Amino acid sequence: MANFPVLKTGAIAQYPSDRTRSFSTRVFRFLDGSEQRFPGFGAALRQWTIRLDLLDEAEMEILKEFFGSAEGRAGTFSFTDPFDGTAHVNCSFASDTLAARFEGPMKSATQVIVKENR
Amino acid sequence: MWVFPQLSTGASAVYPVSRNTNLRTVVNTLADGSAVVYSDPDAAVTEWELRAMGLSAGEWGAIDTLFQAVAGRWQTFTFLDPVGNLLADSELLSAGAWTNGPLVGLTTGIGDPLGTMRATRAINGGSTTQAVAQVLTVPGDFQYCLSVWAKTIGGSNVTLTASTTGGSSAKTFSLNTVWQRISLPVNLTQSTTSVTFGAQLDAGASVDLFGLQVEAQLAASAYKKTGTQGGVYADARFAESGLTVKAQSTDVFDAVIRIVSA
Repeated sequence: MANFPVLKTGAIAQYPSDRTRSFSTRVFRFLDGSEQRFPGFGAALRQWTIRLDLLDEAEMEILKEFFGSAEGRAGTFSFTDPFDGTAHVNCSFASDTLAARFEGPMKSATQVIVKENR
Repeated sequence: MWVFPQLSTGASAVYPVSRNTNLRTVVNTLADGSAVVYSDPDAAVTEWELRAMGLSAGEWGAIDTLFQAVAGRWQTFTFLDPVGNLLADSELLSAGAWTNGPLVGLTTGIGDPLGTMRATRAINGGSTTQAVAQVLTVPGDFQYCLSVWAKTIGGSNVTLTASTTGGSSAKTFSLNTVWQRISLPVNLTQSTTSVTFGAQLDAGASVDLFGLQVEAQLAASAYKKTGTQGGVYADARFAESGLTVKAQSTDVFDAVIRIVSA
């Protein structure tokens, strides 16, 4: 199982960093105002927004190579939650696009969203 | 062969540069939150946006000439990734992209200057000089910089070379047991369509190599590891049918150029 790459500092993410916990609840609302709710799945799925700034070109290229080897959304990898250090072994990229901006030497930036799979 | 031109300084582009790597995946999400996914590798597209500010008339003219020659989005040209390593398989020197000498032995898993084990020991077992080399389909009249980390445990030298039909350049470096990053800036000034870059070893030489990189610019930048796709995109196209230039002053032109490669 491949691991999401870390920066040269050993960090996975930089501030600001988001973590989302999502449930899937279906809601049926009736004419009398009552409703029924059904959980789509039991345990929440997590999602992390990783904003990376001031990367050097090598760090950006490693991320690009990893994105390519994971085949975008198709592949799975292990991701260590930067909030609590927990390794989640079944994660994927949430998008098929990796947008890299090169503002200058050692001034590259990108953002990726990693999601936990069921 | 049509090629996206270099600037007069020998640089490929000016900052900022954006590069989008777009893949395609078919995803069928099921009710329990699980998903069935299918990758579609043939649909991969790479996009660049070059914010070319302060171009001279000559620099803009070269881009405009290319735009007219390929009729906008219609035909393809070669684009050298301005933020990439042009070599493919930069850490797998035994891969098919490399045209090494037949008696060059390669041992992987050698400690490298970044503290990992990704370097390769190259030993020339022949009786004449042989090289670890790669042929790139790139113009012979561009500015390039070949760079590599090298060291030896056997008192060997290494010669960095760049050659094309009608021209070549080489520089020999004395090595010791400490990693040093050596480079060969070169412009072969030949109207050719391929250039061979390599690290040449004397007979019997043993040299540890790491981070081979070729960039279409004057000097080496941070090393970028590559896989099977190097930074040479032979099938690039302009992304739009129109190309607008803004004249800011005498001999000062700005343009935003979008390029795609599928």
